[in-house]
Parts: sequence; C-alpha cells; structure tokens
Amino acid sequence: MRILFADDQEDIRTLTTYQLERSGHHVHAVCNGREAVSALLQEHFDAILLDEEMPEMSGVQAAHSIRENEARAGSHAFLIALTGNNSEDDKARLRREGFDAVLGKPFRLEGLTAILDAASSTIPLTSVPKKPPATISAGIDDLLGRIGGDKKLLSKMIRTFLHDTPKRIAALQKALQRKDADEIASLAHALKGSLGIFLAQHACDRARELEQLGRKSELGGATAVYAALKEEIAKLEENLRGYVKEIEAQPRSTVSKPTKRLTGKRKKR
Amino acid sequence: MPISTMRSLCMPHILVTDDDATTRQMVRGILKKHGYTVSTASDGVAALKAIRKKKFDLVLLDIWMPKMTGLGLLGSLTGEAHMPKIIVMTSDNTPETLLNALRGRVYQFLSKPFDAESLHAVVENALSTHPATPPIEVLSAKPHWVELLVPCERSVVNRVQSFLNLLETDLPPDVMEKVGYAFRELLNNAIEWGGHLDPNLKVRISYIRTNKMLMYRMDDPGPGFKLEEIKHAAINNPDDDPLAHEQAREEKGLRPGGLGLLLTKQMVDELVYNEARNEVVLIKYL
Repeated sequence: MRILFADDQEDIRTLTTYQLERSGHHVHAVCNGREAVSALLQEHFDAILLDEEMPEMSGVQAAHSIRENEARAGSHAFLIALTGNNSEDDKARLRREGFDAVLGKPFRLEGLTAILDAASSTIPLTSVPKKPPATISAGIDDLLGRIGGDKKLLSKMIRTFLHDTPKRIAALQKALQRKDADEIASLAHALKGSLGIFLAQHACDRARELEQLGRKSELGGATAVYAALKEEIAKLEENLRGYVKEIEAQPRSTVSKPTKRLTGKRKKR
Repeated sequence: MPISTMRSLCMPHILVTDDDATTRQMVRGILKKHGYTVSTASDGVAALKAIRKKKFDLVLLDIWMPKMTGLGLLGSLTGEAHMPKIIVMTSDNTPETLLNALRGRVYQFLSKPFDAESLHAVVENALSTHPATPPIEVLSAKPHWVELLVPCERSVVNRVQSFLNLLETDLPPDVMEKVGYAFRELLNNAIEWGGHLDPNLKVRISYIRTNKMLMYRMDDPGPGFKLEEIKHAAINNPDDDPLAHEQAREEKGLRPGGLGLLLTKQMVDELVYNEARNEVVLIKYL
C-alpha cells in the first residue's frame, strides 16, 4: 500500500516507517498535518495515518481539510487516527471527525497491520512494486533474547560486524583468486563464527561449506559457494542495518527491554 | 580506593580470546553485565602474553586463530606454574582437534553459537569448582575410542558431557537426548554411590563408536551393589506393583524419585552390569 504517515515525534516516525516498509508498504513520512495535506496534493495514497496531536496543524484539522478536498474531487482516502486518548468516547469522537479507524498509542505493529488489512479490502489499491521483506533467520527479538536483552550491546555488535565483514569478504575474494586454500578456510571459519551469532543459518551453512572446501584444498566449486555466501551476507547486513535503526529510533526509556512494542508520546491533556 | 574499584578487584578476572571482534564484544558485554572483570585478546600470542603477565581465573578460548591457534596456546601453557581454567569455544571442530584440546587440560567445551544464559552457566560452573580438583585424565583420544579417568565430583558430569556431545553431533537429536540422559544418570550414580563424591577417587569412562552402535562403559571405584539392596529404586519393582519403591523411599526418608535407572533402561537398547555391579555398559544401536 502507499501510506502517508504524519507524526511530530521523530522516533515513532522512523520506527513505524521502517517497520511498514519492511512489511512491503511504501511510506511517505511527514512531521505535521499541514505537510500531510500538502503531500496529498502532490501524490495519491491508499491510507493516511495522522497523529491526533501535532504542531501547526493537528490530525483532526488535517482530516477536516482532507475530507473537504475529497468532497470536491469525489474521492475517499482511508484515514487512520493515532491517539494517546484511548477511551471509547475519544475513539467515537475521532470517527465523527472523519477518521475511518482509530488506533490507540502505544500501539503494536500487529494492530496497525490489522487496520491496514481491513483498509485494503475496502479500497482499490494503487499498484506499488512490492519490495519483498529481506530474508533472515532471526528477528531482532531472537537476537536480543540470546544476549540477555541488551539493546546497546546488540547495536555495538552489529556495528562491529558491519565494519569487519566487508574487509573479510574482500580478503576472501583475494584468497580465492590466489587459490590460497588455508586462507580461504581460515577466513570462512572466522565469518562463520560471527554469522552464527546473528543466527544467519543459510550464510553460516555457505561459510561452513567454503571452510571445508578450503581445508580439503578442493577449490573447484569454491567460487560459486563464495557468491552464494556473499549474497546471504548482503541480506543479513541489510536486516542488521534496519535493526540498528530500529534500536536507535526507540526512546532511551525502552532501551533495555527486549520488546517490539511501539511506544507513543505521553498523553498531553 | 573507590568501592567500585575494590569490588572489581574481588571479581573473577576472565580473558576472552577470539579473533572475531563481534564474538569478543558479545562475550565481554554479557560477562561484564554479570560483574566479572573481562580482558580480551584477538589471537593466541596476545593471549599467552596476557596470561603470563596477569593471573586470570578463567580463559575463554577459540581454537582457530591467526598467529597462534588455541591448541598452540594450550601447548605453550603446559607446565606453566599457574594454569588458568580454560573453556574452549568451539564450532565444528574435528574430533581430533577436540581430543587434542582435552589433552591440553581444557576444563569444558562450549558450542558456538551460544547464548547469554549458557555462557553464564558454564562460566559460573567453572569458577565455582575448587581449583585443587584433580583434572580429567585422557587415557585414549581416538575419535572412535575415547577413554577418560574422571574425579568423583559433581561438576565433572557437565564437563564430560559437553565434550562427548561434540563427538555425537552427527546423531539425530532424539538419539543424542536419550543417550545423554542415560549417560548422565549412570555417571551421577557412579560418582555419587560408587565414588561417594570423593574427588580423589576416579570413574573410568569409555566411549566406543562403531558404524552400527554407540557404547559407553563406566567403571566406578565402589564395591558395587546388589539389586535387592536398592529397594528404593523403581527398577526393582515387581511387574504387578510399579510403585513399590515409593514405600521403601519413604521408610528411608528419601525424596520421591528413584526412577533414574528404570528410565535409563528405556532410553537405550542395552544396559548391562558386571557381577559386582560397579561396571556398567550402555549400548544404543544406530
């Protein structure tokens, strides 16, 4: 789906955008209602998520403006309100203001996905080339669980991995060119160790194969295994970069908790 | 001296040796969180230098490293006045490598990748064992015939099993689990009943692997036992009274249980005792 997302809190914006994109959606994120209304004049979106309370133009004001424009154009976008005011009365009020759905903060990605699924069944979707989610053997929660839930440590480990791995891949390629079996085995072994930490099973299997070929000095199929390994590592790196972004986008107060819950700002009233 | 400094001086000092920076960072981060003082080295040469300079309580060691491998380091440490306890962090090492490590007086093995919980458990276990505990002696170190002489001390069960598990990684998980249970039960019995938890007494363990079977033999230092003397064990129960042993346990003031030998018998294909019952053989057909 093509989603327009307006929230003045940068961490929520980054995290939600990242998670929605990872689920295959196209997201355009803005900071307030005014920017959302402007973006709608330029581009069509299937669903619009508006935080209720934003500076310059609130979610409710933006919704009014959007519905007025739609009345002139004869269209109808699916409007979702994000609100820290979670009572049933508040939800009913927001529906009266023109929203199709209301999602209370803090919210889980699952809750938002359920609303978007419902939205997609009621509206004709704009065709978006869907980016498949990158394949990885383990999610961020699995990785955190293995190191005792320490997000700061995970983030540091990922950075080290992202820093060291390209050098190892380059060295591996050179060793393959030189047909240096011992060096291939040694580098593949080292890579296998760090890939194992991130539970990247496929990449680990390829590294193991390469290590064994090196130990046996049977380098016939080594280039093909190397290519497959490189591809698997690229997928892992992409995911890990996303994880760092996700960890760093979360407020400090949630840093030590191994949870995927999206936190919203405190109720303002 | 600040209290935090004093506290850190009392905590065990651990050296983490691995050429992979991510692994070093992970192990260091987890151990530091548990309050240990942690140093790191990225190869065997640096580790040897650090060990000769400082007295470490424990060394976590990778095998494949540049400059000097873990095995090279173990070789260099032989005969050193202060030999720290060593845990080898392994991943897919050959039986020969593992056996060489065991000969090099490795305390325990930890399979990679591991998580925070198992790392902490292994480290705690190693640090809590008395330094004067006699070592595990390696009598035979062929991949298909391993023979060990182990002191009658509880922590030895985990140590030996961590090593033997690595020789069985090609077996289906359910077979590993069943054999593992039976092995633990019999070794615990040998250490507790045969060796009365006296570290100066030894149990001789043989592991023999053929294409068609896996066999363990345990020879404990005790006089053996008569089946009728262990009325508190379920293995003795008559077929028509499967819980007869519970009454015997109650009379002796023992905790409920006594199912170990009975379950062990069900986990393996053969369980055979010698006449005195201080030697037992378990067989699993593959």
